[in-house]
Amino acid sequence: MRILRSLLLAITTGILLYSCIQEEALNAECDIEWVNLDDEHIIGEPVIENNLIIFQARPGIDLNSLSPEFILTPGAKIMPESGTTHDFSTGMTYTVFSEDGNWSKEYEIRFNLMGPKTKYSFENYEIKDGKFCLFYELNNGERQDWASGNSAFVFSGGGTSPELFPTYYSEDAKEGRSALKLVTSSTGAWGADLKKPIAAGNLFLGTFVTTTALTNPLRATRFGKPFSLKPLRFKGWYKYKPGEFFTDKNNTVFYDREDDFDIYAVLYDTSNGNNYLTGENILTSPDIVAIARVEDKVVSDEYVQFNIPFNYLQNFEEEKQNSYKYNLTVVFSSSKTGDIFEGAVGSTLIVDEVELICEE
Amino acid sequence: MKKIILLASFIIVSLASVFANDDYPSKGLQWSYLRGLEYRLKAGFNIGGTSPLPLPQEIRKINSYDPTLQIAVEADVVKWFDKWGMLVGLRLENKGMKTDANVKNYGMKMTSTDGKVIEGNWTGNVVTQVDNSYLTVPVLALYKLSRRWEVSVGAFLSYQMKGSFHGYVYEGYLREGNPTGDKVVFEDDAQATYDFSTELNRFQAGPQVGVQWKAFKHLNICADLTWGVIPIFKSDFETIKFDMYPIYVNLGFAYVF
Repeated sequence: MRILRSLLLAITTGILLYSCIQEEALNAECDIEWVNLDDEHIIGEPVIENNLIIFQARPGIDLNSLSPEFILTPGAKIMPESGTTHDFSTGMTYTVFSEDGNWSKEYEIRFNLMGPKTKYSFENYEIKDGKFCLFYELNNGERQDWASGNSAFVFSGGGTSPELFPTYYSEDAKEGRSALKLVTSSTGAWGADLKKPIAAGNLFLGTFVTTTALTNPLRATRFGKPFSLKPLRFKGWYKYKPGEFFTDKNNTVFYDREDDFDIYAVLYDTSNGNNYLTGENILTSPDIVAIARVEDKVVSDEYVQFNIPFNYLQNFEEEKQNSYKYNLTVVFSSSKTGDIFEGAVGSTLIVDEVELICEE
Repeated sequence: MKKIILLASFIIVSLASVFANDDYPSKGLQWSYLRGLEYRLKAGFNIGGTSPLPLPQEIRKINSYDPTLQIAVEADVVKWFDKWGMLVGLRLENKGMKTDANVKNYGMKMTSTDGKVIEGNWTGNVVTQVDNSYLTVPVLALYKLSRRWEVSVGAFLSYQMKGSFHGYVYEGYLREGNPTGDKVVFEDDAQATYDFSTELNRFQAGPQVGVQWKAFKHLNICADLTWGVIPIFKSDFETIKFDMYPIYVNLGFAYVF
């Protein structure tokens, strides 16, 4: 019997030892988690994306000699080293290496000095990483990206090719080669599990934070870029066709509801400390200075023009204008209530030749 | 499947209680006894894990483990040669469990119920539920250590009749593609499900060792370890980057005719 007992003991001990938790592996990630750049010309916080860091800066910044400091994933290393001085005037790229040495990632550092352009023709786009469409503007050689929720749609598993993403281009242009095309899309079984069964096509001036897109989608849309002009009118062209079945976040169909798009521009004041407005307060914040929202909407196969005034809720102050305290966003969405995941799959909004008429 | 096994175990228990009072074996049993043949009916629970061995570095912590109700019923024929015996049986059994593990940088491909696929590296919690039904043939050598104790060594071959391997991830983040990809956080009740049931191997086999203790004239209490050596997933399944094996202990009793 003693033999048997020791045999059983040996087997049990063997299994336990064999199935022990092993020592933790070194970190495989190589993120820039934060960047600090001490320069009085920098406006607001830097935007840190997965491969890109953007600083908004006032004209007058000396790009020839800056020394940004980085906070990285624990254990990661950066080349060139954090805190060293470099010339950023012709662009600058850093490479971060993971602690385990198996992974590395390049970050482009970009400085935006010009305010946003005032005319948008949606002629410039690229297919980012072979996945989805990314629109950008060129302003005296400086590149400014439009934000959209495309990077989050990747996680629905439905974006197997660029034209399946909610934000894409159309060759049906009012002028030029291309227009913006937004289509409310299904996010499949995973999206439905998360009570986010649809993704409205959207495009806006600002930043989309992919990281929090599933847990706090309203805060994932950070609206606005510094704007140094006084906008007076908002105009452009669109086509809209609502999708067939309007659903809510539980994917329940409402036969009596029809989908509706949204196009608006908001100018807001950052002097109270809010560097950006989000999906939670972009239309309600007390910081809003002026708003122009398309209210008179037409469903049509032909291009329809909108040309509406900015409605000023606060006085426009020249002093704030000159110190870059005003931010502006322009927002397009193929489902007006897409932010709370209500809308109709298939709703399509095409937009082209948008312009902000500003005070000279 | 579970219902069939439950029903079968109920029949065994009833039979056992009927025969337990019978001190006069039938003619058939007498005939068998004279030729060194013995018949057994067994019922028990499978407790164990379908697990990678050793645990890969990606697994940081087992948050919880639930053996769930996994039943096995078995009919055996034993041929005795003095102290040695040879057993062949037929077993209907479930092997399964539910685990909740915390992982770091766990390479996985998630397939949704509507066939969408995301591949990437997950850091956070993973819940796995396994529930497989097998038809198993054990072939064992028996040895009587004493009047009451008996040990067995041999092998088993299983055919999987129904398999289920599914679960979900929660509270963590996914990096799309690889550790440098876009990152998305899952918090609160956000979860993504996966289901690899169709990728399971049909066959399973491995060594089996056991011990039986004769509690009463007709009733043995038994414990058997079955160690599957065939990875549970098909060889072309690469989503989970390490092989997993079913390792279970069966605890139960046998009615000996």
